[in-house]
Amino acid sequence: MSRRSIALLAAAAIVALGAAGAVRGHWTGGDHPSFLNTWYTGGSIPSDWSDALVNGVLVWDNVTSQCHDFQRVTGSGHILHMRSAVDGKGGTYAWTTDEHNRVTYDAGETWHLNINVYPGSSSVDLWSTAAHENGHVLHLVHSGYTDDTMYPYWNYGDYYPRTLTANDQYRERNIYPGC
Amino acid sequence: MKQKRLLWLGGVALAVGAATVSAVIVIPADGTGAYPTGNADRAQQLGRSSGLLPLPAGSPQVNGGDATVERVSLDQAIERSSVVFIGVPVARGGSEEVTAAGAVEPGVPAMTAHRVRFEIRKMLRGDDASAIDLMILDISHDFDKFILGSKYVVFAEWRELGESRTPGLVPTGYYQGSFKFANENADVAENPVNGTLDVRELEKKLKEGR
Repeated sequence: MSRRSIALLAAAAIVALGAAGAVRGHWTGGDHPSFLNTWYTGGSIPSDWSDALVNGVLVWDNVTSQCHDFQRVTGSGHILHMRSAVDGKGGTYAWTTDEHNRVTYDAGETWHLNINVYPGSSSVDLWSTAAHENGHVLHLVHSGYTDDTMYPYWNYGDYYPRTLTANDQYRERNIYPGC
Repeated sequence: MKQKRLLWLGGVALAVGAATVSAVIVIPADGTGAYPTGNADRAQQLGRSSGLLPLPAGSPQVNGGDATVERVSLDQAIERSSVVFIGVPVARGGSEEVTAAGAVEPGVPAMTAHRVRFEIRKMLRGDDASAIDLMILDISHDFDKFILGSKYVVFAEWRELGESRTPGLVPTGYYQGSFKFANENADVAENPVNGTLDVRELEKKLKEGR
C-alpha cells in the first residue's frame, strides 16, 4: 500500500470517527445503566398516577432488564417525574429534558389514569405517555413510524404506545449494543 | 516532496475530521446549522410598525428536549386556527421565562420560550398585520425548525404558556402547523407530518369558511 493510500485511509478514518460522534445519545459503555436506574415522583404528581407511571417504566424494563434495572425510589433519585403547566389542554402532552433526567406532564391535560381500561376520546393516556417519555430517558429520539411508541404525535384516546413495536426495541438495542 | 505531500494530506484529514466533530457539536437535530438570531434591524423595524414588543437579546435556547404532542391534521388546523398567514421568519429573540425556576419542584430550572418574528406576506385569517411573533416553547427539537428567510404557511392558535400562563401565539400542533414553500414562487408548501398544501385551495377553503 502506498503512503498516499495510507494517508487517504487515515483521512477517511478521521471523518468516520467524527460522523460516529453524531449519533446523539449513543451509549459507549461504562456506568450509564446504573446512572439511569432510579426514578421518583415529585410532590406535584398525585398519588393516583402511580400505576400508570409504573407501567410506563415497565414497558422498557421488561425488554432492557439486562441493561437497565429501573428502581423506583422516594425522596430523590436520578430521574424526576413531575406535573407542571405547559400549554393548556391539547398541544404538548409531556416533555423530557435533553439531560434525560426530568419528565414533565402537562397539568392542563385530562389524564387517563386507569390501567385496566382504555382511555376515552377526551383524555390522554398516561401509561402511553409515560412509555414514550421513558424512551427519551433511555436516550431514544423520535421515530418517523406512526405505530411506534416513539412517534411523537398521537390523538386523545390513543393507547397503542403502551406496547413497544419491534422497531422501538430494535432502536433501543441499537443504542445499547451488547445488552 | 513526497513527505511534504503526505504532511499536506494529513493536514487536510485532520481539518476535515475536526470540522466534522465540531459540526456534531453545533448543528442541531434538524440540520439547519446553528440557530441564528437573524436580522435584528429588520426585526426592530417590523416590530415598530406593528406594535410588537422588542425581541429579547441573546440566543434562544432552542434545544430543550423532546415533547409528545397532540396529533393535528391539516383539516383540524384549518378548523381551529385563529390566525393563518403566509410569511417569512426574519429573526429569533432570546429565551423568556414562562415557568420560574423551582416554581413546581425544588431545584428544577426555569422553563423558557422564545419568539420568532415573521414578516407577513399575506394574512389568510386574522387581523391584518405586517409582522407577527410566534412564541415557541424551548422544550422540543421539533418545535423550531424554521429557516430564517424561507417562506411558510403558518396555522397558529393562542395558548397560555407555563405556570405564568403567558399568552402566546403558537403554531397549531407545533411542527405540524407550518408548511414550507420550496421557493418564493411556489404555490404548494410542504410539512413532513401533514403532507403538501396547495395554497390556492387553502385560500378557497378559508373564503368559504371551511
